[in-house]
Amino acid sequence: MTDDRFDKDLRDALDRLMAERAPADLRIRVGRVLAQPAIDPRPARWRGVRLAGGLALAGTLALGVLAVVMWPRPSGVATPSGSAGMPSPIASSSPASSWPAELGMPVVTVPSASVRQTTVQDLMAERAGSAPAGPFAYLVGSGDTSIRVVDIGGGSVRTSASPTHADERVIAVLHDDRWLVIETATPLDACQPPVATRAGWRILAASLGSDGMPGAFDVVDSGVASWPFLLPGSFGMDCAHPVPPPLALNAGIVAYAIDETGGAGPATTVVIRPLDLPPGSCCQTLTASRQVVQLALSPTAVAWVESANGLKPDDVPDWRVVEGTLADGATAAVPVGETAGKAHEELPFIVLDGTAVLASLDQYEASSGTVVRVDGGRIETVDPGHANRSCGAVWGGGGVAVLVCSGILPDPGSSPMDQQWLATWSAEAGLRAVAAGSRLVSPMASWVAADWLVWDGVGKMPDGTDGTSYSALSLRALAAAMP
Amino acid sequence: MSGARDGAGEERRRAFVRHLDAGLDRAYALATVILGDRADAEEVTHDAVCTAWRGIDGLRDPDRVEAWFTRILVNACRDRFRRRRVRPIAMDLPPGLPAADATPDLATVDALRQAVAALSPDHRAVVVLRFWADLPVDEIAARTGERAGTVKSRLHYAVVQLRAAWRPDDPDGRTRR
Repeated sequence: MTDDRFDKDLRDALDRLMAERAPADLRIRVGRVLAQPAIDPRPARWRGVRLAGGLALAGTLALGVLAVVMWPRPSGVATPSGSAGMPSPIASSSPASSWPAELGMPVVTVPSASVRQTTVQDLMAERAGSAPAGPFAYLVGSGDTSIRVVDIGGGSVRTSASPTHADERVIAVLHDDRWLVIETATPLDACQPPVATRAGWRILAASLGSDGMPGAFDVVDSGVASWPFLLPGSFGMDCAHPVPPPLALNAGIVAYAIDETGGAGPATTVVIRPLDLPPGSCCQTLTASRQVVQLALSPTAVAWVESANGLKPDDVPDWRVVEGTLADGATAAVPVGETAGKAHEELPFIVLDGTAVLASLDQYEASSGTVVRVDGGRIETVDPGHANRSCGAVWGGGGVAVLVCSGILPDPGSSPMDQQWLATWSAEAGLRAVAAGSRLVSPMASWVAADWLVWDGVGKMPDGTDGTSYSALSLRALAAAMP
Repeated sequence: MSGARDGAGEERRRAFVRHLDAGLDRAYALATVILGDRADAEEVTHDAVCTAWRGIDGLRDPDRVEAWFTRILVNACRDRFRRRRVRPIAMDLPPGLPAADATPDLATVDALRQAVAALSPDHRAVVVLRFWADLPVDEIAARTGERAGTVKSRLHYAVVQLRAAWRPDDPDGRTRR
C-alpha cells in the first residue's frame, strides 16, 4: 500500500469520473448562448434564438458527440453537516456607503452583534468554550459514531453518541429548540433496472437539554421506501432509486410522507406526529393525490409539493402545492400563480408562515425565479424576479419572509462573481438585502433551525490556520429590524 | 479608446469561446462530479456559461480564462447544491452487493470512485482539481475562491477519507465502515 499506488488508483478513479462528455443538448444550448450578444443575461431557452450574427463557433459546439458513460451511484448527502451545507468561500462585504446597485433592492441593517460566530477546525475535535449560549449546529455524518455539537454562541465543540448504524446514510438532520431529528436510509438490494431498489429508512429523535446536548434517541418511525421519483437525465434513469420520506420539523412536531401501506403506491400518506407522544402512539394522517416530494410545517398547517411519479424526459412536468390544516385535516390546492408545464417545470420550494405559503418558483432559471406569498387564496409578490439575481424563501414568520438571493456582484480585487446574500421581505417594507453592520450577510450555504439562520464559511483559528466558521443570525431579531 | 475597449472585449469573447470548444466537456464533468447528478450538472454548466458570457468584461486576463470560468462554475455548483433541497436522494450500493462493473481489477478503483462521491461537494472539487487536473494549491484556491490554507486542509481531510475507503487487497473492493 504505497503512496504511489494510492495516487495511481485515485487518478484512475478520477479519470473514470471525469470521462463524462457534455450531452448534445447542452452543446446546442451553449452554442445558442454564445450566439447572443454578451450583455443579455437571460438563458437562451427563454428568448428567441438568433443564431445569425453571433460567433460562428456556436455551430461548431452544437456538433459535439454525445458519449454516455456509465456512472457510479453517488451518495447524495454525504456531507457531515446539519444540512446540505458547505463552506462558504467568499465572505463578501461592501462598505455601507456603496451597496452594489446590482443587488436591485434596498438594504436593511441589523447590528453586527446580531450575528454570532465561532470557528472550528476542519477535522473537528472536542474543545471547551464558554457556558452554552447557542444556537447550535449538529453535525451528523454517515458512518460516524459521534454527533458533533457546535455551540456557535459559546464556542465549544462537544460530542454525543450517534444513533445511526454503520450502513445507514444520513439523509436529513433537523432541529428546533427542543428536539434533534435525524433521518437515515439504507439500500436494501442491488440495482435491477428498471425495477426500483428499496431503501429502509428510520426517523430518530432525541430531546435537547438546555445545554443543547441530545438525550437518548427513540425511533419515531421506520419503514421501507420502494418508489422512486425520476427526473430527466438523473442517475435514477439507469437505475431508479427510492425516495426516503420528505421530512419537516416545527415546534416539536414532525411531518413526513411515506409510501402507501404495503408499498402499493408512492409517498402519498402525510404523517404528522408530535414528538412527545409515547413511542407507538400515533398521529394524524393526510392523503396526497400524487407523490409528495417536499414538506413544510408550521404550528397550524402542513403544506407539500406533490408530483406524478416517474417523470420521463418527454413528459409534461406536473406538480402542485397542497396545504392542510392541522386542526381539521382539510386539504386544498394552493394557487401559486403558475401552472406546472414545460414553461414551469421546476418543482417549487415552499416554506410556511402560519397558514401562508411562501413558494419559490422557477428557481433553476437565474433570471426568472420569483417568490410569492399565498394566504387564503390571496397572492402577494415577494420577489417579482430580476435579470441579475434570483431569490428563494427559506423562512417565514409573523408576516416576514427571509430569502437567500444570488447574483453577480462586484468583488473588490477580483472579477464580478456569483455571490449570495440574505434578504428579507414584509408587505410594508418590501424586499431588502440584509447587512450586519457595514457588511452584507453572505451565507453561501445555510439552513434555518430554531428561528436562527445558520451558515458556514471560512474562518481563522486562533493560531492563524484556516478553519470552518459557523455564523448565526436570529430571524426574530431580523424581523424586528424591518422598517 | 472605445475601439481599443471593443477590441479587448472581442479578445475576451474569443478566448472564452475557444476555451469552451475543448473545455465544455471538462466543465460538465467537473460539475457532474461535484453535484453527483447529470441533470443538475447540465443545468449548472449552462447557467455558468450564461453567467460568464454576460460577465465577460470581468475576464481581465484572457490567458486565465480557464481559471476564471472554473471559479464561476464551482460557485454555480455551490448555488445549485443549496437549491436542490427538494431533489430526491440517490444512494450508492450497500457493502457486499455486486456492482455492475465490480471485476477484480476495477474493484479498488470503483471503491475509490464511490468514496469520492461520498465526499462533500467542496472536497470533491479540490480532489479533482488536485489529483486529476494536477493543479497546485494556489491555482486550486484561485478556482474555488478559497484560501490556500483551506484548500490544503480540505485536501488533507479528503485524502484521509479516501485512504480509509481504499482497500487494494480487498477482493470486493467495497468501502467498509
